[in-house]
Amino acid sequence: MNEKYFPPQIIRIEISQHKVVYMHISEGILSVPILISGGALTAAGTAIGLKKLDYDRIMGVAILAATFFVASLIHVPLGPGSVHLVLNGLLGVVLGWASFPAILTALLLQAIFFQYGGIVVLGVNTFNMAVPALLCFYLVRPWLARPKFRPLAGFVGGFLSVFLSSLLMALALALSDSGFLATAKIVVAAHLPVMIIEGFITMFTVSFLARVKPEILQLESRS
Amino acid sequence: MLILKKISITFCLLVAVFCLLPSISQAHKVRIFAYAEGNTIVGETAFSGGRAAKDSLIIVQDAASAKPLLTCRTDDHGQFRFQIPEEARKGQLNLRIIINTGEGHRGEWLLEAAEYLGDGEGESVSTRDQKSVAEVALASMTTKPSTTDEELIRRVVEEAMDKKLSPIKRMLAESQNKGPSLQDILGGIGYILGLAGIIAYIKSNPKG
Repeated sequence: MNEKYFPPQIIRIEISQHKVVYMHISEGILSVPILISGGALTAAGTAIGLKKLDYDRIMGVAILAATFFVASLIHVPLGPGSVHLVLNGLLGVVLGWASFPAILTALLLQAIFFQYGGIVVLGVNTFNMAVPALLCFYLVRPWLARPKFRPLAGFVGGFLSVFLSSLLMALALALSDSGFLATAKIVVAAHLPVMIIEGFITMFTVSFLARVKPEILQLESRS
Repeated sequence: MLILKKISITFCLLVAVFCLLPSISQAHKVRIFAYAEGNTIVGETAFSGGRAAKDSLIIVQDAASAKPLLTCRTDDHGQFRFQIPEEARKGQLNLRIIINTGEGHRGEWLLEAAEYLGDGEGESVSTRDQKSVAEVALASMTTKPSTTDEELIRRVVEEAMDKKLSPIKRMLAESQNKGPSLQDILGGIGYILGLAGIIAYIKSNPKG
């Protein structure tokens, strides 16, 4: 709470060590309509995700939810501060609609255990991270089936989902407060290294999975 | 054989991730904390591994205007102390104490005015002569008591309390610095797997 480098409302600061730009919006910032609509949309997405979830894939979803849960602890140094990994692109590309329940669960546990974000903003935060994941799923899927485009598709998935999440986060803040452009610039700029890193992580993971365990990606079954 | 290969690859990946985790999350951290001890401000610094940050530059700024007030260096134990600047005392400035070890490691600590000023009235007297307070108090105790003596005694007690409480303050500061613990992380993963189990149970077909 010591710093005012960035607009104070977005940023949770790790006490006395260094600034960490979180992808999570904290409690007490967003207006009530945003909170309610975010919650409703997340509830709908989670319902769809759970309904579409096949029995066989439950464990895979859980493992990726756990990955997402832990990824936020990996800090990427950036100037005087750092940002953390999000990995929603990886979840989106692999899980599709199941990213909603996976991200919701992971964020809930992050809120409880790490005090990232909060219970009230859980809906909005989940929406911000799950919707880009879903978009990337639909965008990247067709390319994934073709081995030639697979690495590129993975990179785009990882990169774009963080980018879109930053934009959604800025949008949520702007709808409650003011100045979308200024906020968006800061959030997107801060997450640029994360986008690149996650692009590569997603690229390698997807290529690896396609080689070792292609059934996780469901490349054949989904035409 | 293929399965064996897969398992070994997965295992290597897992090991790599676990080796990276602490080093990534803890790199570039230098801890700093400071507290008031009478008229001086005492602070300690350490790297995340516990190694003291020796002979590092300490910059004291006004937190609001970022105007530098003074600089000093840490000693061999990573400790530093400085007199509270008169300017800060008068303006009741919140102090931002920054350590810069010169290799890209930087930490800071915010010391709020209320923390080092104490209650205003007694403090203005104590600035005059902090060290002899105890002696004066003892001397005056032998003579007849008066209100100023009470004042002195109060200050002596406060000073002693500051000294006794400083390790506790430090512990509190350190505990605030802690990030998520291993228990938190493992607990979270456990919860996720447990939830998956519940969903699997709900979705399972009891007939077979």
